[in-house]
Formats: sequence, C-alpha cells, structure tokens
Amino acid sequence: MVNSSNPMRKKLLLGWTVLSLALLYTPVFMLVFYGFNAGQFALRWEGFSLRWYAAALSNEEMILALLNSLLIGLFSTVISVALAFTYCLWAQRTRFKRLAGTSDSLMSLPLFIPEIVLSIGLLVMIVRFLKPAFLEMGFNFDSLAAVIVGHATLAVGYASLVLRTRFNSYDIQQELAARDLGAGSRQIFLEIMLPQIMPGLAAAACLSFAVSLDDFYVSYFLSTGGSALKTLPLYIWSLQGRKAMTPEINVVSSVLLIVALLFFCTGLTLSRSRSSVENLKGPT
Amino acid sequence: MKWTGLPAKIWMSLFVLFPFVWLLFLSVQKNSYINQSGPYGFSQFKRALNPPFSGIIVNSLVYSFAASVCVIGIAIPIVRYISQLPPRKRTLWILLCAIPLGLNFVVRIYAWFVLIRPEGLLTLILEYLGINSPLASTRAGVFMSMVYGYLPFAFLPLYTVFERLDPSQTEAASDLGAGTLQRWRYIILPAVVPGVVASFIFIFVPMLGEYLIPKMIGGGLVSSLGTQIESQFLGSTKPNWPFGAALSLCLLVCASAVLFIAVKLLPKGHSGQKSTWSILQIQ
Amino acid sequence: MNGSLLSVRNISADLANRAVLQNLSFDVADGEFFSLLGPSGCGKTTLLKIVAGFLQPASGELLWNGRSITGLPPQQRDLNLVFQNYALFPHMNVFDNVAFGLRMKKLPPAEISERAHEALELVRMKPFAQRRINELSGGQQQRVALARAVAPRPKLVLLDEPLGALDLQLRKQMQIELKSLQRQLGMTFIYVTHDQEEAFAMSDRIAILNQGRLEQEGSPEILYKEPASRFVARFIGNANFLNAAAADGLKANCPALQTDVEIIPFAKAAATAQPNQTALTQGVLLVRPEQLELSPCPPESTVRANGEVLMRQYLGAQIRYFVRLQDDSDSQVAVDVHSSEHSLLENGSKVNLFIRAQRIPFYADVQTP
Repeated sequence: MVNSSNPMRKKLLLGWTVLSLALLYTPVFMLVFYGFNAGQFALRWEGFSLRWYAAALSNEEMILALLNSLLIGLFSTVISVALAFTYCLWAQRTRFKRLAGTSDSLMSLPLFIPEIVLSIGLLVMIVRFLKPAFLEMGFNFDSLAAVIVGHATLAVGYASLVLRTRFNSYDIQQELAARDLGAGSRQIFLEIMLPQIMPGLAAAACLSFAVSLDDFYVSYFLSTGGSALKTLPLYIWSLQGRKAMTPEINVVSSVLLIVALLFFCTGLTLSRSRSSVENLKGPT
Repeated sequence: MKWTGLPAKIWMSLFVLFPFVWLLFLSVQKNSYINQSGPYGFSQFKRALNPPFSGIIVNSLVYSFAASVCVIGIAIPIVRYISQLPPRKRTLWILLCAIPLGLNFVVRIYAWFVLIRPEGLLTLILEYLGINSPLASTRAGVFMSMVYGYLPFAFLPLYTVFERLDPSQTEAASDLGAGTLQRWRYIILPAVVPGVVASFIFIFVPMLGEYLIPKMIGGGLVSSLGTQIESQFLGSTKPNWPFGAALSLCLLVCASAVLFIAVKLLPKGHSGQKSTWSILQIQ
Repeated sequence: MNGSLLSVRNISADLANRAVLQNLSFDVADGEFFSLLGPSGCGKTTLLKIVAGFLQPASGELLWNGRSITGLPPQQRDLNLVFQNYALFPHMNVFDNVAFGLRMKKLPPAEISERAHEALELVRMKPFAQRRINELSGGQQQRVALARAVAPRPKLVLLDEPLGALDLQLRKQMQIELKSLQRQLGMTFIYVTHDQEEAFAMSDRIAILNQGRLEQEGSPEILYKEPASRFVARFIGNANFLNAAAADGLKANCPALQTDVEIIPFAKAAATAQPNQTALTQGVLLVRPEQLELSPCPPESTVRANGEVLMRQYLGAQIRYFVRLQDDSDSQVAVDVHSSEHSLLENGSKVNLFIRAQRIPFYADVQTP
C-alpha cells in the first residue's frame, strides 16, 4: 500500500485514532466507574463500594422504570417484527416490483426523518385521534400504549431492513424444488423458509428491542416529558436535572448501557452473519 | 401472500404519513388551540420565519452543518487508517468504532456532560492549560457535545466506502506520477464521496432537530429548533401546537432541502446516488 | 403414439401478455433421453415449468401415459426437477437434501435412509452425506441436486441446464456421467439446454425450439444431416450457405462452384417447384465444412480458380480454411480438411472447391408476393 509506506504519517494517523476513540470512551468508563463510589456525591470519588447498586435495587422508581422499559420493549418488538415479517413476505413475492420499492421507502421513512418530528407527529395523532377513539370504545389509551405504538413504529424500519436483506438471500426457487419433491405449503413454510429466515428474525427482534431501550424522543414526547410514564432513559433524564445527584444515576446508567449494548451487539452480529445461501457457488 | 404486506403499510401510513398531513393541517390554523379548526392562514409560518425564530432556525442550520463537517473531518482519518490495516486488526478497530452506537445516547451525553461541567475533568484540564471558559450552558459546549454525540454515526458509512478502495488503484495512480494530493483529488475522493454524503445525511438531519443535547448541556440557556418545538408542544407556560407544527414543518423542509442538495452534489450518473442510497440502507 | 410417457399436445403459453410458447406438440418415449434445445429466450424453461406443474399453459394438454395431467399440482406428478441453480436447501446437509423428497412421501425412516444413500452412491457423493451444502464445489452441488431428484424414483426427470455453471472440463465429464446414470436407472430424462454439443452428446432425440415454436424434432443425425430450416442448420454445427437455383425438386445449380447437385428439398422448394416447371426457384444450399473439398490451383493452371484462402486455423486433426468465393456474391465459406492428408496452404492461395456430399439440403428463398 502506497499510503502507509510513510511511517511518520502512519503514526500520526494512529495517534489521532487512539485519541479520538479514547475521548469517545472515557466519559462512559468514568460514568460506570463512579457508580462504585462510596461517597454521597456523583462527582467526588471517596473509595470503592457497592452501596449504590444496593440502593438502586431497592429504589422502586428505578425498578418501575426498568420494568416499563422491558415491557415496552417486549410489546413493541413483537409488533414491529410481526409487521416487518409479513411485509417482507409480500415484498419478496409481489409482481409489482415498483410498488415494493415505494413501500420499502415508506418502511424506512422513520430512519430518515428527524426523531423529534416523528415523535410530535405520533403525539398529535394519538392525542387527537387514537385516544378519543379508544375512549369511545371504553378503553383508556394511556401513555404506556402510546409509547409501545411509537417504539413499534420506530423499530419497524430497522426490522424490515434487516429482514429484507435476509429474505433477499433466500432463494424462492427452493420452494419450487420442495413442492416438486412433494412438500405442501405448511411444510415449505416450516421446513424450508422459517429455518433460513430465523437468524434474520432474531436479529430484527434484538435490534427492535435495542431501539426501544435506546429511544428517548418518542418516549419523552408521548409521555409528556416523562411525567406520565418513565422508561429507563427518561428516568436518567429526570435524575440528571436534580440538584443533588448521587452515584445512583451512574448505577442506573450502567445497567441501561449493558442491557442495551447486549441486544444491540447480538442483533448486529446476527444480521451480519452471512446466510449460507450466499456461499453457494451455483449460478445466479 | 398477496395481502400480507397490508398491515405494515397501513400501520406506517397511519403513524408516519398521516401525522404529517395532520401537522400540515395544524400549522395553517391561526389560533393556538389544539382542537379547534379554523380560521386558517399562514400566520404561524409568518411568525416562525421572522425574528426571533428565524434566527434560531438559521443558527440551528449553521451549527448543525458545522458540527457535521467537524464530525466527518475527525472520522475520515480514523476510517482511512483502519481501512489500511490488515483484515484481522481492521475488524477489531471498526468494532471499537461501532460499539458506541449501541451505548445509550442519553447516558453517553450525560457522561460527557459530567466531564464538561464547571467541576468536570475536561474543564479542569482546560483551566490547567490556561483556557478559562465555561463549557456547560454555552453554545461552544453544545457544539462540542454535538460532535461528541454524533461521531460514532459517521464511522460505518465512511468505512464501507474506504474499505472498498482498491489499493492497486492508488498504486497505479502513483505509478503514473500522481502525488498524495493528486491521489486524493482524482482517485480517493471520487470513490468515497457517496459514503461521505451518506454519513453527512445521517448526522445532519437528526442534529437539526436535536433537543436532548441543547437542553442538557445548554441548561435551558441555549435555544435551538429542537428546544423551541418541544416547548411549543410540552412547554409548561404556553403551549402552542399549531406554531409547533409550523416549526416542525420548517425543520422538515430544511432537512429535506439539505438532503436534496447533498444528493445533487454527488458525482453525475446513477451510480453515485445509488450507492449512497445503498449505504444508507445498510446501516 | 404407443409407448410414449409424456405427450405435449398443442401447448401455448403467455408470460406478461407475450406469447412464449406457440402450439407446441411432441412426444417423449419411456426411457428416452430427450433434449429441448434452443437459444436463450426460446421458451424452453417455460415449457419445463409447465411440464413440472409450476405454470399452467394458456391452452393445450399434457398427457401422461395417455391420461391428462394438465391441471395437476406439482406434488402429484411423478416427475422431479433438477434446477438450473440447483435450488438446494442451504440449511440442510447433503443427506437431508436428498432425503427430503422421500420424507415428503412419508416413507419409513429406514427406507428413507437406504434410498437416500443409494441415490448418493449413484452420483458418487456418499462420503459427503454429512457435509453442508456450502462446503461443496459447484460440480458436487450439481450431483447432489441430481441425487435429490432421482431419489424418489420418479418416472421422469426434468433437467434445466444443470451443467451451465460448470467449467468446460467438468461439463464434459458430467455429460458422460449423466448419460450413463440415465441408462442405469432406466428413467426418462428431459434435458433443457442451449448448448448444441451438450444435447448431441447425450440425447436420443432432440426438439429444437425457436421463439416459442418447435423447429424440428428428431435424432441428432437427422438434425445434422437434414435440418428442416435455415435456423436449425445454422444452430447446429457449422453451416455454409451457397446461393443456388433449383429447376425442379431434384437438382439445383450452384453458380459459385459451377456445379449441379442433387438436393433434399424442403417445404417451399418442393411446393413451388411443381406447378411451374420452367421457373427456377432461388434459394441456398446447406454445405457443411467437411462436405467441401479444396485443391490448390497453380497460377499457370487453365482452370479458373473459384476460391481464395483468406485465413487458416490449425485445429489438430483438421485444418479449417476460410475461403472467399470468386463470384459476384463475394461470400465466404469454411472448409474443413484432414490435416494428415493435406499440406498447408498459405493465405491468398487460389483454390478450387468441390462438394463431396451426395444429396444437399436446399432451402428456397421466401417468396415475396
């Protein structure tokens, strides 16, 4: 490589890279580190202790926020993956390829518009239409339901992108082959399609869950600034504004970091794992 | 299979497309009430496009643009460096770059905030170096935080194009007598432009509507398009949904305009635009 | 026809409002290796899909041992398909792929295992039974696809350009294997290809399709020696077309070579020649390169040379000369001579050309009324 032949240049680049990444990671490491602080205050180190982890465990507000986050994540994941899966089934098989292209853009729209606009759009929609409609039917469409709907909308974009690539590497000819060998529709679905789409479904689910855990804007606006309902990020947001911050905020943050990162990485790994079809040497 | 696409399409139309129409409808109402319809007029837009709000919009545009350029400027040398490493090391480094994407944004910004508070580590270091200017609650602080917050988003789109660069092309160029500058001008830049544009879109659009950073770092003293929109919808003093809708539409128009210009700036021909699109889709 | 396993009767098909197949009819006998040969886009894959049951014809009928199977779904047809891209199931190993059809037949596990291994044995893939599909080479995948299709022991196997993705060497080897496998199993094969040599190497009979129409059907020998149309003549082997005029249905005069030849007249020549004996029918003669003979013509010779060597290709057993005819048409012909019997001629040599064959196919020009 021509460019890396200059050792001075290479060292400069390495220095720049290390410095930038260090700056990226340091605050987060310090945050996690200060969660083990023995002292009263979030910002002054007074020795190692697990007392704030214990305190967080008995903090009902925090537990509630965690439960809210998990519940919302679960429901919105189910909805978004179901929508994305049925959508991809259609998009792969439809004869109207142009229509599929247009609706692909519709599906990924949430990824391209500023989240704040998406959020207030949802807010307006829910307050003005959904809430009254459900009240009419005798249901209270509360903030929890609103946030679930919001997160599902946000996650459908990611889920359908991930699934779409998976479906693209799934050769429909196999279904003809299976039918030719005597398989019925149910067998084709269970034995041919599902096993091959499964990693994509798992990836989509993990990413949807990560998106839901991560989200700030949609939850913030649909719970009117976190007053009606607190997810974990909203709880951290509310703590941050308070006068006397204890290391508890660091503890909560660390928990959120780990859980969300776990789902994010799993989802990413699953979605990038090469499907076995791509390795086939047959002609296209 | 014919109808399985419907639920998703209905859902997205209901919760993404239709709200836009409704925002449009809301924004042309003269009164500030939520549920009233009419009288209609463009008074909300007129208000949004005159001082002080016009200044806020312009400010947000300028700051977001500058911060995006900064982010990409910081990221390019890093990505270039990584893309020239041997494959094993490459994966490790790019993973290091990608992991912050999975770290919660609120937490990351809060962690950064701790560092730049008056008693924070970064502020102390700056003071030690003789720079005595507060970072929290200032525009400079918000700007820095934007760069910090959005840096991870630039890596992957840039990496996809830099990774594809064929070293034999630059070798061929230098063999034909091109220097470093000429290699960048004629070989590298044309090849990476789609990735640069993709990452720019990725960063600029959400930055423009950023609420979290100006609110947390700015501590209510720095107003941006995002904080203005928020206060029109959720503000405790005097919410004004029609005006908020008008502001959001302004934001949307600005974002689309920049997106449009960015795509138009791409090298002529289908391939540039197409590959930007495909990079956007991959992420 | 007696003994025919599959009869295709007047099949027509449309794709996106374009006629892909037009009124096709042919029979495939039990135990036969039958090829559908044609350039890409001639509709042969569509025809295969109709036979397999994935597509329904717009009109026409499919008979299976004399009984109609036109509306039958693919599962209920006693035939299996080898797909062009193999369409193997990548999430299953080799054994499970081959056993799939047997499992769908709900056979007892012991029999499934026995018959799947038997099929793998046939294609010499038994040692690979537990391999994953993506660990196999293209040729191995091809064998697995074949084993999967024959394992349920169908009466008929359809093969859709199965060797298309393999390199030349492997393709030649697989041609021999396929043919002997078909003999061994006694199954009927319908083989789709655009490669003329491949079809010739294996088939008992070949049907030639062009633009959705059946051009000709017959043994390789008939197709080569007596192609029914200029298209078939050009599609199969190398063809020289020489302008000629036929006085009746029996003889034609070729001015370029200054000879009269006996002809095998086709369709229009025969029809137009009879009513008006005086008028000459213009057309072309089909002369294969090996049916031409050439001898050098020294400059001092009194005989006027009728050709000039343009280029020479040394092909081993043969030498191919491209010769420009010395008449008004200025056209070129290819001439194959045995390299052992001839000394090399230089470019620009004047030569005399003769036709060696007895009876030559003659195609009359289409009359423009």
